[in-house]
Amino acid sequence: MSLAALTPAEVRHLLRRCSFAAVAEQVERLQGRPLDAVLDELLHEDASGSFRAADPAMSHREVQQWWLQRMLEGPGIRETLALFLNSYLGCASAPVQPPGALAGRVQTLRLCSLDSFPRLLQRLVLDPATMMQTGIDGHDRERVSDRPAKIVLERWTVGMGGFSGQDLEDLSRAMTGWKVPPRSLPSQVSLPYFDAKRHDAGGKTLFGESGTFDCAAAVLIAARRPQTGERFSRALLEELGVFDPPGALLGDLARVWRDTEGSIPTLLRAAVRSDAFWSPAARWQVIKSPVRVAVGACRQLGLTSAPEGLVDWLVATGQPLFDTPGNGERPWPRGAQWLDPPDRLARRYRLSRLLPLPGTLLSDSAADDWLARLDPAPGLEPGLRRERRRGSADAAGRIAARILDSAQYQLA
Amino acid sequence: MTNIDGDRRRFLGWCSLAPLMPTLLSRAALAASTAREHDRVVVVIRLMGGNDGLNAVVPIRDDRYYRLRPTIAIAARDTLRLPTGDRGLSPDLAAWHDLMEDGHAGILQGVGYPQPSRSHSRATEIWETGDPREALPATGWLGRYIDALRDPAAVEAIQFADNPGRMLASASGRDRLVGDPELLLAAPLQAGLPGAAATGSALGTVLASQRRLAETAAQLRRARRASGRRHPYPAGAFGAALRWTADLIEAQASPRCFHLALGAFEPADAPSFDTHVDEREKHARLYPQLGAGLRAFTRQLRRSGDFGRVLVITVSDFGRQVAENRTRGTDHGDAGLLFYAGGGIAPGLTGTPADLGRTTDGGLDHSVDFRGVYAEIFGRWLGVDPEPLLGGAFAHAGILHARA
Repeated sequence: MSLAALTPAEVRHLLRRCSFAAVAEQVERLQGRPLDAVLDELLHEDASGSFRAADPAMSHREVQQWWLQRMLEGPGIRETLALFLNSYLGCASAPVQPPGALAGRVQTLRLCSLDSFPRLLQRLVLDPATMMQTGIDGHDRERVSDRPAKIVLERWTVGMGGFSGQDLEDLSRAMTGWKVPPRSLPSQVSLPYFDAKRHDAGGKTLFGESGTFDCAAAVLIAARRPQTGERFSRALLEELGVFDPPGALLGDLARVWRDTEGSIPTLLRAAVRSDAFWSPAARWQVIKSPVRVAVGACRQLGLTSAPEGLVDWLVATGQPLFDTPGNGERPWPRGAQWLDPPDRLARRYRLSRLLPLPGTLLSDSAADDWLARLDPAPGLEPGLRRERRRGSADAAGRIAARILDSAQYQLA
Repeated sequence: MTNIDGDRRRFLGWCSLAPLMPTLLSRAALAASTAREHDRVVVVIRLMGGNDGLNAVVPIRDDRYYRLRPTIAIAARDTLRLPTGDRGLSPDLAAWHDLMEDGHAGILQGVGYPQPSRSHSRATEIWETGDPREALPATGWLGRYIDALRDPAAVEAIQFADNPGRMLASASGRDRLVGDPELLLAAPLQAGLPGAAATGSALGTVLASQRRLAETAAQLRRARRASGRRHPYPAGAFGAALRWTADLIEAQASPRCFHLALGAFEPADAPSFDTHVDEREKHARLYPQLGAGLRAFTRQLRRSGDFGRVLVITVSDFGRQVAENRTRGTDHGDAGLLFYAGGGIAPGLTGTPADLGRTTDGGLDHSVDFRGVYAEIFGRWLGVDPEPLLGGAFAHAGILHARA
């Protein structure tokens, strides 16, 4: 493909994979421009917006609704990266009190999604909601637990088998001393504080480096390891629909990781510029996650607020916002796992009932209009055109519903 | 003692015969002897959470029970009479008591395993896979049985629950999860799809999933038509799932294994068996559903002549601590109870009663390994060699009648 001027089909492919969906107005605006310029625009979209600030008093359901709304309104790449990071790093909402604290975690993921991955981990490890999940809260020099360090090493950085017993022990010691104080009000999110008396300030050795590391310094050492970069790069490639990356591409990403200290946007740019990303055989080979289906549909329909039932629809289809499987120990599923069992597919096919769809016939080419707007995989056209010929007052809405509740709409 | 049913003569008759029950052939077992063995069915009901056995089968002669549970203990006078004399059944289990009286149900005591886990997720994995080792198999204990069955095309297991547990997970993909059957039946399915052309692609994967969905929906429709829906079940998701299970069994549908759930962790006000808080209130909502649901299930399948080929067991993450906590509940413990029902069972209380003097960190020690239940189901009920399916030999727990 030419990176100099993207065709409409190429813009749609890019948006499907890097954002929630191809939105017609965006495709119109970006077509004909070079890939780098398009990426520059997408990576620098304004993230501030007029969005309602997070309220710590929100219930679990309200904070789910809050995040959904954020994904509806925010810049596509930043919001999808935050969603990916929540999954990659794992999340369990049950230990987080008040649930509104989860909004702070999402904000950390969003803000750092276009920064370096090691710096993101440094910030995240001391995010109050994350501290409640990892158990770092209250972990002190007299009662050292290896659970927080295991999460950092096994899940966030080098992975199983990538560290020694001493790395685990000394990272555990470095992570001592942090505390989230008791809340004075049920709806209050307490800010963590560092108590030097509870911290083990002795010498430590991590991955061959010796010093009196504190939590941030120790996490950074693990986060900068090449294995951390390799694991993260592979996961990012899978997120973009590149499932069997060639060795050369992995080598490119390893160099980017080293040269940029793990810059997430630079890694993403390198992945998107690869031949593997644009391979014709790889088009339409991603089975979208429920969040991508739902938020993508809302964005394509131009909805400015998330329909009420969508939070429940996400739970029913297997992707409750925040909670990843195994009590936060595993990422969300991928590909065919989303449809196992098939009951999940039946639930997906009810999306159209939740969305406001026009009930009047727009034009003789309603089927073509909807196909262009909702961008399903090929194969639906003949059936939809028959629908149009039958003609009735609500044909347009019915056509849109048939696209949204189709096998083709589940693909990117 | 309270006899809820009121039929005192029948009740006392059952109590006097109860010690001999394991040697008698119950009416249900007679039915079992005429059932087609290869059509035998296993229904597993997961009591969500970790069920407290001591407030189900109450040690009414043990002072330690009343001393350690000052607010949640069930008074001896409120319990339902059991033949052993030193135990009484929770009044919330009145319907289950009826089933025991009739020889259709039992309760196995002291069920657990060595080095038990008190983590919900870990304990669930262990019960579902039948394997407490660190490296868990990807398939469930019943999933591995399904894999061994002959017909490679048939759907052999259905889970009526929202969470895709691993109990029925099979390598051959012959298990189905149906969270809400009505929703599945109403799914809009596309016609005229280019399925053949899409084999091996992501579209092919979605279409294959859609085909499996359509097959399961068709089975459910046939089952509903066949049963005619004449039997009343308790309201709610559990009653509905039991009804669907009975309908499928009555319709001679292909599934041999069913997984249902009673209780839920969500929403927050839904009762579960994780009774850290207000245990008595939660049991008062859940146990009647279990008993009444199984009573309706038994009635339907006895009338259709299928009860003899059905075995129902419950599983739960763990038992609970002997002492109550400060919130009128109990915390995670170890050994617990296993309820069972069906046409070939040994009715009444089985296993060794809980010994409140044999505890570890406040939880009851086990006397029966749960894998002994699985081994008995494989070996004596389903007629397959349990060792390769469980990775070892386990002494049978004794929930089945000698002639089952």
